[in-house]
Amino acid sequence: MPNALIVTALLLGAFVLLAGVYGLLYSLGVLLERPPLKSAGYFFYLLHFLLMLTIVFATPLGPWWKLLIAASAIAYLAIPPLTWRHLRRIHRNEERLHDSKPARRAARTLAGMGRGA
Amino acid sequence: MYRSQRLALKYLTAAMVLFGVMVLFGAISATYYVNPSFLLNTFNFNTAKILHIDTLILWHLMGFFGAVYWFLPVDTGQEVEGIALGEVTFWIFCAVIAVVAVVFIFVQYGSSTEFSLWFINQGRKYVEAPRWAAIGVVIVGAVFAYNVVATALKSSRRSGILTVLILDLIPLLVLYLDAFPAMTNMSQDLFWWWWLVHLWVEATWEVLIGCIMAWTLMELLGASRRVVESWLYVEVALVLGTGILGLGHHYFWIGTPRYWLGVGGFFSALEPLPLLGMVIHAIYDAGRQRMQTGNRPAFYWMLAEAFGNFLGAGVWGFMMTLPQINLYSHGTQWTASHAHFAFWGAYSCGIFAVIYLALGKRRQSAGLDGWAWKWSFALLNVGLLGMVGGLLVAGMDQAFFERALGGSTWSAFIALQHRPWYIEGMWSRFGFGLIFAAGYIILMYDMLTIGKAKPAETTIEPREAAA
Repeated sequence: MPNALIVTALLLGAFVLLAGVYGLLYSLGVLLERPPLKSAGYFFYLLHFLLMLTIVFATPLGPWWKLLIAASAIAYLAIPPLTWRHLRRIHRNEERLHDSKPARRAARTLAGMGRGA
Repeated sequence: MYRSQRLALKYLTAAMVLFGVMVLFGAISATYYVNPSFLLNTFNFNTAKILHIDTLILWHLMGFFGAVYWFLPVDTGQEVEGIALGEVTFWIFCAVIAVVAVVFIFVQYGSSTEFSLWFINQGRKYVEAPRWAAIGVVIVGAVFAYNVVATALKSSRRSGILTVLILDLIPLLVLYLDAFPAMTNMSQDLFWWWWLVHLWVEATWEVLIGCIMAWTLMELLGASRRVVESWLYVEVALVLGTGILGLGHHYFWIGTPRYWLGVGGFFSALEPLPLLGMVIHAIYDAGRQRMQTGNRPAFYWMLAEAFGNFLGAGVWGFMMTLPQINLYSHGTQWTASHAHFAFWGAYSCGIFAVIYLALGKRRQSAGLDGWAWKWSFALLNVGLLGMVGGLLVAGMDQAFFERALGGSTWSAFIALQHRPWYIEGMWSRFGFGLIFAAGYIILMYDMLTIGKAKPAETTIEPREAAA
């Protein structure tokens, strides 16, 4: 392990960093509605995945740790779309509540009060 | 403005002063590494390091208290209960810190007696404050908790954020009691000591900053309470789920049973996952706001918090958290690199965001902007990145040559001091530390002056706009 210490550590750091770049580009792609950014995100995920394979096959970490890293690579793939969907859903629910009849009635009342003033 | 918010401004001011003390003693500590005879027989390196780290903890704590005192009356719609007591304990807190700092600087250390433990230095890393001062901190914390709980009980509005905060206050206070035991068995002592250090930083503080950032999002971006709270619950569950047993990564080499290697490594490996979720959340919020807000400094510091947390705690942490790596990296400059980056990202940036938010409200400014916040933002972040980069290079050199190849011997430690990468890493940290210090000076100038020149105009608050 000593000889592979620095390389393994750098690979592990890059593993998380590339997941972050994937998440960043994916989110920007969805936010700005720019498919190339989203594709760039997937490209970085591919790099992340390749890095995971490198860690699994070329580092002296134990088999359980390698399994954990492989599993977390799958989790990293899912986090940006799931998080985005969750955020969008709770915001949509909120807007729906806001646009509901009682809320609209209250808004009309408030607007009327404003005109009266 | 509520009386509690005036107290908040005092706390936030004290936090910024202590931040300056931390920077000063950080610069002094960094100087010893590049010039080992610096202040020889005059001022110990250990004392400089103690002051650097203890002020780090204290300024964040004061920042958190200030942020809660700022948001609490807004959230509950009433003045904070027992605020007079809170005001008294603020001055007690300041006096305790000042006396302890004077003792650390002029007395520095004492003999191994009960007297030293009570009046000079407890001798426990990060909680070195003598016992009388630690009791003072407990009293301050208890009054703070009383303020929060009593206000919540009196108020008819009890939000989810406030409930999470109240639940978090229990471990926050109870875990600090871990600062007191003086065990003679070092393994046992470290075992419990990590409950304080790790669980404070990676569990209770994470929840605390989560609550503070939830309030900040509502104030700054007009985010809906329902949305913010539902996200807060998810984040708190994920952070606690991974952070509590992530404690195990501190138990690797202190004489604890072997299973901690597995437990600590496993949960630590999961810790970056929720941090990625936070980054996505930050981008989502920034997108909804189209990067437009009346308080740009607060907004940018809030974004820096999400990214800094991911990089500092996530990327830097994962590099060294698995037991095979940690065997060599534990306690080296590599750890220092991770600690600097993680604290900065997870907490410091968030507190700056709150301070700018409070300044915007206090000065009734139409829009906070100008050159100074941009320069301080750039210099502080570039300075920090340079410091953590330098420490990382030095730390990797140390882990490899002193620990892995040298076997952690005294001669390996001495040999390391002459290795070019280690020396260059230390010089780099020193140089970028000065850039960081320049950023602090501009930040203070900005906080003292921003928004004062511009008179208030009729503006639509984000909350009103959202409504």
